[in-house]
Amino acid sequence: MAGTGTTHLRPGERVLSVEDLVVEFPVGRGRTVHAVSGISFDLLDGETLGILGESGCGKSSAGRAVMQLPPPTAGSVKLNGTELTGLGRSALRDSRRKMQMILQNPVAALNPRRKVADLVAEGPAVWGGKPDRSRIEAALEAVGLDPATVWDRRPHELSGGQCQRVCIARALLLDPRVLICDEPVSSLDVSVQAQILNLLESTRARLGLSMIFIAHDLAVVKNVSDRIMVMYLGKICEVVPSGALAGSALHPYTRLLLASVPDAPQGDAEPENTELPSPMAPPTGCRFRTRCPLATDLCAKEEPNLRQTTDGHHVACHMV
Amino acid sequence: MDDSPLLTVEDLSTEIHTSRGPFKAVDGVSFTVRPGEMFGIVGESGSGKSVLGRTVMGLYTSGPTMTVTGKVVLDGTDVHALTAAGRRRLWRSDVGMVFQDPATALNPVKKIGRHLTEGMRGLSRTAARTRAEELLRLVGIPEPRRRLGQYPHELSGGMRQRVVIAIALAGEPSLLIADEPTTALDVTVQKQILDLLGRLQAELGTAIVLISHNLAVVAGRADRVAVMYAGRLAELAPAAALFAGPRHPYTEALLASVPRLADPPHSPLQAIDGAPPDMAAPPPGCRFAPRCRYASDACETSPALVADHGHAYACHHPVSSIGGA
Repeated sequence: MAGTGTTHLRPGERVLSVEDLVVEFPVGRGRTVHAVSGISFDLLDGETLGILGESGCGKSSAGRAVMQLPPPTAGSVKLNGTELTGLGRSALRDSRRKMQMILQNPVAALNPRRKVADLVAEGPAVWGGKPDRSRIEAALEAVGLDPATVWDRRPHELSGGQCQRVCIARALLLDPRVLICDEPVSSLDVSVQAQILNLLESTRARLGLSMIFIAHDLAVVKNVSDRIMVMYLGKICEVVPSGALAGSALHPYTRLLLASVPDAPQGDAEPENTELPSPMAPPTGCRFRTRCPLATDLCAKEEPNLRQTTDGHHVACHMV
Repeated sequence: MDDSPLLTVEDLSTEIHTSRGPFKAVDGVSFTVRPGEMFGIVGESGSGKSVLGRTVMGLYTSGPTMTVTGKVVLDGTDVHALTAAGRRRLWRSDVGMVFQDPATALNPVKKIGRHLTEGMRGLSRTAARTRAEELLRLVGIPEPRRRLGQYPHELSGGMRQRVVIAIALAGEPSLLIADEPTTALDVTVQKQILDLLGRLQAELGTAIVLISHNLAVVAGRADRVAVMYAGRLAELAPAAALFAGPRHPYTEALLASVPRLADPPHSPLQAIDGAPPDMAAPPPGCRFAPRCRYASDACETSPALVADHGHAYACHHPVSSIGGA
């Protein structure tokens, strides 16, 4: 597939490798939303990949497609070498167990009628056999909750941060290799956000997990990631080592994001067109060209492929 | 700039009556806003910043569900001494409000033009439409004439928020209260809306109270910033002084807990332990004391907000301006 390219993929042992992932949703009257249009990425053991982008860029759809929730329209998702797309129901359930998701709204992610102890035990219970009390207690302690206090509580008796801790404990009890976090801190307060980010970071280091961290906040993504993939309208703009994000980002969209951080210097010329094009009829060529200050005729005709600029830094743009 | 305040808030408390008993969402807050000033109010959820904004606006008044005490004086008018009709007059001409979610602030079955013109009095239909077009142009909406005939769902989130701002400006208010105006918007759009508010403040001389949970949104735009914690003001200072040298331990901790783009990846964040207090049973004395690393026995009595060269803070153990307590 023409477009996003694969130069940023690495050879050798990879926990997760995703190639040419396409996610499309029919919206009636023959129309289709192109949420993700042929992106590829991979994840090394113990690595954190940050996916950065605004609403509608396909970052959540990409994360969910990796989980096969729902399975992608096309493309390949390999977990430890096992192809997940096209697996049968029971084989898929077996493999998918190694990946767990942390969602944006922790309160909505928990069944309001169940107690914390049952919520955390739910995963293993589904897999046959309720875990014993000591395992649940250890899991709660590992995420900074006092088991005696929260044991019999229901989600509405907990704060948002505590609910997110319960979600993390629940995910970890299944002993996953990959944690997919979809905006895990964006509904939390600033002071609680730091607690959860530190918890995710220490957990990842302690258990040697690989992580996909999806968020719209540049500083948050930079803080937790080793590598950052910037998405726009279903395509990859740039793949950059997170240390180089602030200083060396090249793609005009990444630079627009950096200039939009609220405490960035004011007074840059605003882009002419600030509207996101419809994902039902994305622009030809480069999808960012309708808002890009550098766009030329070439950008409308030909889609830029990802190419390497420096080691580990890849950009899809004709003009930089 | 004229030094006499446009807005004076004096010992304002908003007590909300709930089935669990009354609690003070805003507890004895005092501050002033000067004409043409950008005044930031920062706080986490539950800190009372939105209730404060709405009480200042006069949207929340004493009644069966809440008790408001203290004073809000806007341009010589005591907002809480007004009748309901008086408050409506005030909203039409003196103060405008911008809400967090532009999708729910607009009526989905009314066209944009109707939203803008319905508050206008004493104008012919064509004059009102011309004025509406002017307002849309003022807030940077392209093709204003065409937009007047569109419904809210035909506009993007950022455009809708511009419309909400245009409505708030229709009566040429001297004060605009913006409650989390960019929280529901994408980062690139957020910057545009903040730039727009800054431009309106500079060009029209409108004073703006900018309420946000996001320190970065307020930094660099507000002239002065108030930090709220559990219904009270923790600190109130010129923005530059507050961000460069916070005196209240809560402000210091809050600034340290935010990840920064300039820091290397995987830098550990200095989280604030614990959670904000339950407002139905707040701790006695300083409300931040249970989470504060400098807390002592003295913190069992409530610290007063004291000013030190225009930098006010409510703390028994202020962080020194050189660093450390």
